[in-house]
Amino acid sequence: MTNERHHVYSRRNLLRGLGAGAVLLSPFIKHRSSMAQQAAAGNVLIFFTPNGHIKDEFEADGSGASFTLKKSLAPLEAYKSELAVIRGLALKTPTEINSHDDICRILTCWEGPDKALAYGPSIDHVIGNAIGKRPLYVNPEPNRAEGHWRNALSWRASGEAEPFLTDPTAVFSSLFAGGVMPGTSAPDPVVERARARNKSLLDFVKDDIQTFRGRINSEDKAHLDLYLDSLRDVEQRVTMSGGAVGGGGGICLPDPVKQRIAELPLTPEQNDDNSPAGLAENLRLNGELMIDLISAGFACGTQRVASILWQGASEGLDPANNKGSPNHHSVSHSTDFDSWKAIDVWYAQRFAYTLESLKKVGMLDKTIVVWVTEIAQGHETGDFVYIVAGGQSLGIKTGQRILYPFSGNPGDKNVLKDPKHRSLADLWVTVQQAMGVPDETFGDPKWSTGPLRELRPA
Amino acid sequence: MVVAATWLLAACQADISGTAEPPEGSSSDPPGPGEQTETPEPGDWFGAVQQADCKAPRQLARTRIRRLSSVQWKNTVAQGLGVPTPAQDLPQDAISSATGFNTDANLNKVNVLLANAYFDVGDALAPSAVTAALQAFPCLGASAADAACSVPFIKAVGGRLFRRPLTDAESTRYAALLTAQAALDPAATAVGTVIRALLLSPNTIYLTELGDSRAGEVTLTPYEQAALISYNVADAPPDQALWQAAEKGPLNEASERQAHAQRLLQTAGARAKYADFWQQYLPLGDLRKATDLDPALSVAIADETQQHFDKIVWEKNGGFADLLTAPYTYGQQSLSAIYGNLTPNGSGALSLPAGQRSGFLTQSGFLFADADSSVPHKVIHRGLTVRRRLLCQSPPPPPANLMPQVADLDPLGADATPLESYTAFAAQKPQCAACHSAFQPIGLAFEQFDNLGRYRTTYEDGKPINTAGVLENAGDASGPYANAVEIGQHIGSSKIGEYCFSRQYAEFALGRHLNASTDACVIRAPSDTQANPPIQKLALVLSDLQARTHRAHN
Repeated sequence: MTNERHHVYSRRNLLRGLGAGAVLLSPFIKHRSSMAQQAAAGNVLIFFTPNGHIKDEFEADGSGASFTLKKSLAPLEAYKSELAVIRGLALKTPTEINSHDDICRILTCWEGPDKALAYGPSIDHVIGNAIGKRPLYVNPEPNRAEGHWRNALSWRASGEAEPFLTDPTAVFSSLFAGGVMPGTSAPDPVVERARARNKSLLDFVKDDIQTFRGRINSEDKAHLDLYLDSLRDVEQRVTMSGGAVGGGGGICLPDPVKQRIAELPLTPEQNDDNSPAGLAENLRLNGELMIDLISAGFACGTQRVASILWQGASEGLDPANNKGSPNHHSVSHSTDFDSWKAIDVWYAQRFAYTLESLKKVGMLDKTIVVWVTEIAQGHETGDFVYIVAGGQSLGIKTGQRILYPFSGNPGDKNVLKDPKHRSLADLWVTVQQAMGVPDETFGDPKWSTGPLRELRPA
Repeated sequence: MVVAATWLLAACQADISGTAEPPEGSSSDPPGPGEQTETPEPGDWFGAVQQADCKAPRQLARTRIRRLSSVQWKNTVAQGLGVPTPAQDLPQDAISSATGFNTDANLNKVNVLLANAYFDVGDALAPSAVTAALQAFPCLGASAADAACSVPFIKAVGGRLFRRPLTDAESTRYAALLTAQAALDPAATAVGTVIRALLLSPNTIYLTELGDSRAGEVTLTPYEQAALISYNVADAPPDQALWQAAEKGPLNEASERQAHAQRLLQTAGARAKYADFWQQYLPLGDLRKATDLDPALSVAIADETQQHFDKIVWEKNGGFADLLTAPYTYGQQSLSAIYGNLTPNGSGALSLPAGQRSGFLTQSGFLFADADSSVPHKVIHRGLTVRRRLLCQSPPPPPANLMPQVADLDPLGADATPLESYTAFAAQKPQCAACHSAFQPIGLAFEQFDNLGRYRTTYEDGKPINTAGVLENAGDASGPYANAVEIGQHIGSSKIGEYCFSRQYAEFALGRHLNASTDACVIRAPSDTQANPPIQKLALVLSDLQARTHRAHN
């Protein structure tokens, strides 16, 4: 077993850090029609935990405003008025075999032949496109490698998974390093000239690419399109001064959060299924720091859309018992219900932390937080229990349980597609509209029927 | 590479619930975004390759572009700018599920991470590149804006980076950029900006087969031919000899192309490229997990795997059969701790204990499994590797809705032998055995080797090890075997093994999944004039095929 300093990152992560600004400061091509209106302020945070939940306990009793949280959600009792428990949504675009690889589809809602791919942008990118800001995608595990469907929650476009950041320094840099915070001093002329030079250079290269593109076979044009798109990210990183993107308005104090990065303890490396002591605690510390960074970005207005992948689909620590990955997945298919419930409780504590973090900087009512998972329970992708919190200033109605009727086998694709079942895509219609994207559908339009009016009344 | 064989699929359901799922990367996958529908892969790929008429006119391959690999990009930059090879790492390329290699031209695009890395590495290299440029073109220091000075510089550096002479329009355009920048920045900075622009140009980043880019049939330029030969063999831009040959005109003569390829084959770049192939081809056990292994022995194991390949390829000019059946190995004497008595054979190799081992399949590097690896996992891994890598046949992946439990594969408990466990498992779960029968028995043939690769004839509890079986559905390699050594001999002396190895190398080198229908003659080409062709010949034949001049463009 080897220990690594937390801030000692792999080559891949360092390179990811290099691209951090690009990942986060993208001036996105505004190619969607659905961007006529923007919310003046407002943020979205996707909170992903893997392997579903034991819905018997990860739920609420009652309906409407009169509801009682069950045991697995007990850590959220203090935030009951800030959240909506939604039961009964169905993923109508799963693979033939509903399974954990539907992590590629819960935020995209398109079907396609390859279960390890998504076939459209995820909700964070749809909103990011509209507000001209590449969303942030983080994972609080320094040793996690990208490039696997288990991590592929956020998708820039069909077939293009968004890489995540695991290095909190890179996250901080991407949120604040390029940003001229309100009230800072005048720009440095040397820096300004470097930006202008980079702009000329990249404009020249983009013209070069367009000329080259005209010569190539139609099948290969996608290569050049992606290169052009990628260069726009580079451009944003090296030519723009950053700054606000229309959100913000909270208590903007990023420096104390930055200070905590240096104070993070050692991160043990997991070499097998047996977790070294402290791995779960480390996940907690890293994850909560990521959350606080996101909150700071929202408060300062340097970011408006973020996702956190706590663990990958079909794997994951058992943080409640301090056991390594994939024990979470294992217990989710076992009869060890106590361990599974304990995991749900552990993540509910992290969700409570998230809400408190946003609240502390005055952003909870301006931020829609959605707790998602790729599997409702077992291998079912219907009759989900999702939790939406915050976002009241964006029209979200919290302090309620919303029950959408669901009957039949939630693991049966035909049952999921039954029109009587409400589509998960409609949750994203609701969220995108709250963020100023007026479209009445999300993902494959044939599986949307409009926003969830119970969650966001007209 | 992944090929789904119909003989397997006929009995082998990917979905235990009964809904068959196409195997990953199989020909039955509908095309992904941006892909064209391809000719379906034949169920019997080996039969298709054998029966193909390679004298018949073939459909022209389409024009294509390929992003340079990290190694190719670095070699190109170093040679083009006259600077040391960049030390910076570029993002790793993904392993293709279709080929098992990281060279897939469809997958390897310039994504956000890579674009940023290109930009930043270019930025970091600029000072030393500018120094080299100012030494070669001193006039740049005072007259960067003067076309008489800037154009020759741009043509020289740009030509090396683009692997072709720049057009007048291109050099004029870059000169204009230099002029504009020189008006705003010191000359050295302006020169650096132009160098950075050249580095980011798609003409630098992509290897092309575009010819004159007319619709219909196009002819590759001599410079494209030269680049294809050079990168295919040595991962490097054309050297002076190839450049000069291209200046004279098309490389139409096969003998001329092959002479260049043969010369390049002697370079360090060619050896590094073959080594890269071998490391990706052979799924070695993760020796880092060998916590109870002497670190020096761990190094010796890894070293043996590479030495065995290097010596057979470069010193013995051997073929695939030699890799698989050599009764000797190359490495350190300390390997005797695993293999028993290794005796030097007088020619630099160590003779292996007779009858126990031969070739890379019986080397510790291949056999190693960490202590935590379950017995079924180890058996399955070894058997699947033989099916996939050595026979180019892959059963479909486990169904997504399968939650395998160790107990499923070990129905008789831990005291049963792996063979007893498999027999009971196959009887109890015939729907699983439909697929597992294709590979798990092969894995059982390796049971004479423990997790570290030490030879044994009984298990620790004294139970005998039975490794005999019949290799089925394996083309001309099919037949009974007594142990893993004989499996190696069957495959090593077979055409299916020979063709499969050529196919694997071609998929690695060409950066695409080959189709046994449409690419049968590419697969067979190295064997056309010589059975068990030397491995060196693979690069020669492929580079020659690639450099033939006609393509279809749409």
